[in-house]
Amino acid sequence: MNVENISPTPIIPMPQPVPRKPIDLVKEKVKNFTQNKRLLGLIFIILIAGVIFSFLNKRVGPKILTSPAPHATQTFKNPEANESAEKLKSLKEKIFNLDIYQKRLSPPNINFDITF
Amino acid sequence: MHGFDSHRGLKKIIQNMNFVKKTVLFLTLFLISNFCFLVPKTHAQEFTFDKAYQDYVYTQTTYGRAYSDYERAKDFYLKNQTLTLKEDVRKKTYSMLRERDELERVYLAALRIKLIEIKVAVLPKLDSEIEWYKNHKESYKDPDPLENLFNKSKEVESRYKSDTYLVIYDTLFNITLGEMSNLRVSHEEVYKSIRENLDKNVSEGKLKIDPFNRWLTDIDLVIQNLKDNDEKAKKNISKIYEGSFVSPLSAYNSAVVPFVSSTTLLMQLNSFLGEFLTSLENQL
Repeated sequence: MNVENISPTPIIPMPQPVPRKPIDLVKEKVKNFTQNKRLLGLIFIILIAGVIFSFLNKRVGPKILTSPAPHATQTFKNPEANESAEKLKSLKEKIFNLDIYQKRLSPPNINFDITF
Repeated sequence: MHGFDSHRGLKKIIQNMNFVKKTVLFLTLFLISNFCFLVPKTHAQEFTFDKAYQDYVYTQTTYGRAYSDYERAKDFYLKNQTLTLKEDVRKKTYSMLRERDELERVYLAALRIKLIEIKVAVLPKLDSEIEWYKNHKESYKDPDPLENLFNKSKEVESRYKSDTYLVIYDTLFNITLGEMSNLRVSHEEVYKSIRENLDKNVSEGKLKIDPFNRWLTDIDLVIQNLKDNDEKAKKNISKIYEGSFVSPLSAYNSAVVPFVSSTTLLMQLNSFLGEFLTSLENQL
């Protein structure tokens, strides 16, 4: 028996992917991003628009939304009457909040007896 | 020459920059320049009553802390009378007394601002009290021995009982009177406007004066009662300086009694004017 000598096929080592550091991946992404001129142009336009709108709105802080009054004042045809009605409503609130004894402003409690 | 070279160098650098870098540079400069405009302008904060009241509350806390420290140091010293503990209690007494004068000053200043806000004349006595506490606070000296501190504390006690206490309740009365009078005057302004409208429509023949003429009488009566109550209250508070009351507090409590009725009258006036206005407008 002639045994063929089967020469073992040389095992070619498969190229292993070189492990990349996460920082390199980030760098590559940033590079791709900065090279995208259209995207940068778009961001630029959005920022400019934001600045312009902020100027137009003249908003310094967040706007506080006030809830509408539970009982709306009766409206009249005469604008002066509406003004009077609004004023009366506001005065009514002030009467409710009156503190005739000025409890909030009562003098501070002080102990003068400090000798020993 | 040097300046010219620098300029050319800068120009060259800019030309060599790619589009992205130019964009980023421009964007950064643009945003920085805009940020300068967008930063909210800080206006000098007005010294309102709310601000003065916050100061008062803060000073109360500071005084409370100083008083607790003094009490603790005093207890330690009384239990173990060493020189070190005596020095400690001296320092704590000094701090507490200064804070106490400051508390009085800040409290009186808050009352002063309140009067200004409601457009009521400030009592000259109030100003002199504020000045007194301001000066007295400075009269405490750091090296003062305990005996001196106690003597200076007695000056405050004496001043408080003879002057400050009266001025406080006189001022509180004026604040209440001012608030009541302001509300009455504001209602009178609305009343005047409604009445002018009524007179105009009656003269043009669009409205009949009846029943408004009777309503006007009722409203006038409420306003007159309010004015009478103010006068009664003023008469009562004048007794605060006569010494006919046990304390300025009891004089004050007695003086503001007419204002209880005034509150009801103001509510009635408000309701009458609302009714008058609605009825008038509905008939037009």
